Amino acid sequence: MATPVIMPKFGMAQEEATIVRWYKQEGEQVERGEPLLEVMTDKVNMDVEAPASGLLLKAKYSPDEVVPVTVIIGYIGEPGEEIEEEEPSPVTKPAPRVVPVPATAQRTVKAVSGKVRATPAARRLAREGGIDLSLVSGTGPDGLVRTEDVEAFLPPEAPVEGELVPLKGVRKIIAQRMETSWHAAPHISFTVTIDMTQAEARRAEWNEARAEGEPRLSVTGLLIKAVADLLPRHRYLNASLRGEEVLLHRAVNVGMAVARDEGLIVPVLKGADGLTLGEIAFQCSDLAERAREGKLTPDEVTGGTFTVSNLGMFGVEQFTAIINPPESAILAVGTLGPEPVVLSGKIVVRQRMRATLSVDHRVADGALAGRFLQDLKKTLEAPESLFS
Amino acid sequence: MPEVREISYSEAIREALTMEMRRDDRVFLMGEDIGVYGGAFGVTLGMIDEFGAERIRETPISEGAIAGAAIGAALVGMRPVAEIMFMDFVTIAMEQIVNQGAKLRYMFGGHATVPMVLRTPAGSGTGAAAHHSQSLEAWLAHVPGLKVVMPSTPYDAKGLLLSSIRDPNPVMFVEHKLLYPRKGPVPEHDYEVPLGLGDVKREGTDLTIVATSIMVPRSLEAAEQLSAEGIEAEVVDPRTLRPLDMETIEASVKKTGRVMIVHEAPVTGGFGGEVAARIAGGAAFEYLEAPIKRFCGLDTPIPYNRTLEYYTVPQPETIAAAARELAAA
Amino acid sequence: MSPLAGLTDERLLELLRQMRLIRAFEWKADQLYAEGKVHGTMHLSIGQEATAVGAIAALNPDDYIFSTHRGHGHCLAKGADLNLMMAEFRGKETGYCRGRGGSMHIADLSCGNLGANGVVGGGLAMACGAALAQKMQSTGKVVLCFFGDGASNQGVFHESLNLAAIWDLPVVYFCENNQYGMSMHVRRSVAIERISDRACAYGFPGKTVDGNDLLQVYEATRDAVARARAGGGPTLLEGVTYRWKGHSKSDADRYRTKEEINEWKAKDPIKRFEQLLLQEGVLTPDQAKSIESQVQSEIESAIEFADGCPEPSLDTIEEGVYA
Repeated sequence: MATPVIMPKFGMAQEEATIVRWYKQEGEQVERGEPLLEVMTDKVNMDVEAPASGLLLKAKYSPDEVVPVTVIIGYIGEPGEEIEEEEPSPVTKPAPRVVPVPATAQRTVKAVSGKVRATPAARRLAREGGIDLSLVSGTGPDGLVRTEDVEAFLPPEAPVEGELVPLKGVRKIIAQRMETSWHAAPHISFTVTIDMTQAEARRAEWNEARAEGEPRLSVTGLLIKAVADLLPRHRYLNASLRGEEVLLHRAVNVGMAVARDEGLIVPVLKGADGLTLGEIAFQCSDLAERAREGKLTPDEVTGGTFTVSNLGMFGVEQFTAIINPPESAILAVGTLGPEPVVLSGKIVVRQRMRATLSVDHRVADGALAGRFLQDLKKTLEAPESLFS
Repeated sequence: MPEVREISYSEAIREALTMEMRRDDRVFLMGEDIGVYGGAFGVTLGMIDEFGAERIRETPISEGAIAGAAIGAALVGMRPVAEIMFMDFVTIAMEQIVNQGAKLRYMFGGHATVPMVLRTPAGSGTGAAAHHSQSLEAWLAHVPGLKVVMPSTPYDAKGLLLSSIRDPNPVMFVEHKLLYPRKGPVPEHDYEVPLGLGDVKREGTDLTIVATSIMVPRSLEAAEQLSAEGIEAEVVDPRTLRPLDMETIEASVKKTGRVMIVHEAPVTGGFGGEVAARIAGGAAFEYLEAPIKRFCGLDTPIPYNRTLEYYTVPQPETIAAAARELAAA
Repeated sequence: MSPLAGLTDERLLELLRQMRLIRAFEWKADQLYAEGKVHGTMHLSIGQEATAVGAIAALNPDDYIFSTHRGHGHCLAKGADLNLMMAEFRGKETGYCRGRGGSMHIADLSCGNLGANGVVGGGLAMACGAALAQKMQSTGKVVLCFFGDGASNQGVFHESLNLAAIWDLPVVYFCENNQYGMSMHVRRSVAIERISDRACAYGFPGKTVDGNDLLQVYEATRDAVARARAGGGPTLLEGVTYRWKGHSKSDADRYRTKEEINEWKAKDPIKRFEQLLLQEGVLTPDQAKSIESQVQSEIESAIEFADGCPEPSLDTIEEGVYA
């Protein structure tokens, strides 16, 4: 069998060599150890010796060809010998196989109680965004807080289906305050039905009697008068919780909820217990108008100690309102309308209205609320004191 | 713009040596078989014809004397470039390098300078096994008074060697055997690559690979694999280990938040630990999204068996696998 | 050869003065250490003044020396500034090495002193390099490398001498054989009688002299230096001497006898040289006394100088590592 001649490797880092010239032609006799061809590696010329004696049966590559080391470049043997053309098997890199990188023992780090586990980048983001890291829930291993968790805490920037109206200005303030109120104050509500027949008659008279240009007295105005007269005797409903203490306000500043397109706003009638019916009528009208025009001053929407909210004009029969912080109670009033009532055994038609009082249970309890409503009902059902 | 010609890493080193020896009479070479033989890796081939046996000065196998004589000659004003044939044998020269070369200036109150360069090829992949395959740069980078350089491309090799010879301090110039035949663009003129300046070899956004020497081209290869998978790796080549350019590394870590250090030398006590500690202790710390990763040589001598040798140190596909882990961490 | 090696009277007196200076300096250093004024340790060369002075006397001022850890004498003989030496001992900023080197690492490059060395044999290979540089630049200068009997067993000794031989380097290797490598007697550490015999293994001459005979040391060195300067290559000289004090300050001298020490004290190189000069009429007893007191006062003022020098500032703690 013919002896293959391979391209030898001369240096450790050598991967190939260039054929310079063959010293022997195909068919020529060569002796073992005799220089057979000259090759060049890294600009150094080396002789390749014949590995066996015999005829050079085949010289596979020509001068200037670059051949990788260990590739067969020729055959030496006896004349007529078969050359088993083996596929040249150049040195290949070891077949890459995925070697599992030895996993270093993972020790899950348990969070030290009270300490937030977060990546350094997450901490920086939280710090820069003014975010309390303890509020961010982590989605990393063992609840590790990562950058994406902090980013999720920030307002999403992706567009939503529908119209995105920013919450700003007064609306934003209301939103924040309502949220705070709802979370902070445990609300309890009590409803009472008030017979407004007398009150309505009197109110109509009052309105008839008023001078030209003077504003009308609304139901809300009358209610405010009633509430303002009563609150000095029901001080826990005219109060604010301050930490471990309840501030029982001296002033009676009654807020009046006004419906607007932008949402409810509550201008305040300051010192309502000292106002006449005429003054109340005026203020209600004036504040309501300016509320709708967006011309209220900040002072006019702050400082309230109790709020009255009348949604009767929408046909709402009854509803529960959320207390306006830092107040402790709110009166929600529904439609005033004719209802059949049994009176002295007869069915008569009376003007009636439902009023629902919500109180902050931290400050007042059911009994307090009940007593107030009882008084309110009495006052409105026999309204002489209001109109005097 | 004219095409820059491509030459090999070893040719680039030869060119730097030649250019500087022509420019400065004080420069001379010392080492084993660097004359007619041209050096074990052919780096100094042909130089003896131009410069003669005085300046291409062959030595016996005496690493201690080679290093010591270089230091002594530098001490009195020459600019010797000594060659230690394999980095493994730097161990024999350590007394001279560490106790004398690195410390003379300091011990003598700043009154001495030792402007010498010690060149040596490190690294595995040639089947030369334990005594001819080591990467000991961490030992040298640990010594105050030495500078340590590890070029990864022909361009860097030439520029850094010119800077190293011109530097007034003892510079350890660590080459890599497998890099010698690799070609790259190298300008023909005199240019310097400053010591202590790293280089971003590939820009990326998803993770940073800090790599040295042969691990630079391997990391670049890994980065190509990763790019096809949608992971863009940034490859940072410090080029000089001491002094280390942390600015370039930190800027990259801040950008990507994930960093992996890749070197051939065994991981324990390797220079990667120094880089990791500086990242963790510096401005880039709070940009980290994941722990700093080191993917380096195993803690074993280099084995003879080719497959074992191959997997003892990082390779492109294993670097890519490690990077994938980092990307997911 | 004249008994005074062809040296002028002036020169001879100067050499005596140098030896006296070294002796006084070493005693003073010993005392300062005992007083806690110098810290660390020190390796005193009391008894070895002749090898230092005799060998260096054969050099030109711009020739180079490499010294050892026991190098105060070499330093002074090579023309060191006493003030700067003392300041360095005290670790002061204005010392030779800005207080960073101390006793074992004093160097004065301005007068060719390429440094004492904390590593045994630390200068041997560097001496080859320094000598090579002289040869390559044809400066005509010679390098004298001191080392001890212990260092002659270091691997680098063999590498260096071989290198010096094959390259015909202008270096003189001077072994101060004080017969002890710390506590090990040279008989136990070296298999041959004379360390200078090792030179033949490298193909160049070796010569052993009485290290306590200043003129013998001088002549042998002079010849070796001339050979080197003329391009004749290296020489290995050996001066057999003895150190009176222990290896370092922490040496309790358990490995040698009082008798032996006294035997060698009787061969005091300074006394012998002084005797010779008195005999030859070069020196008068008054001159002898005046030399002694003069060096004493020089040392006292050096101490004063050093006392007044500043300590290094902590601000500079990282300086001087890199150029």
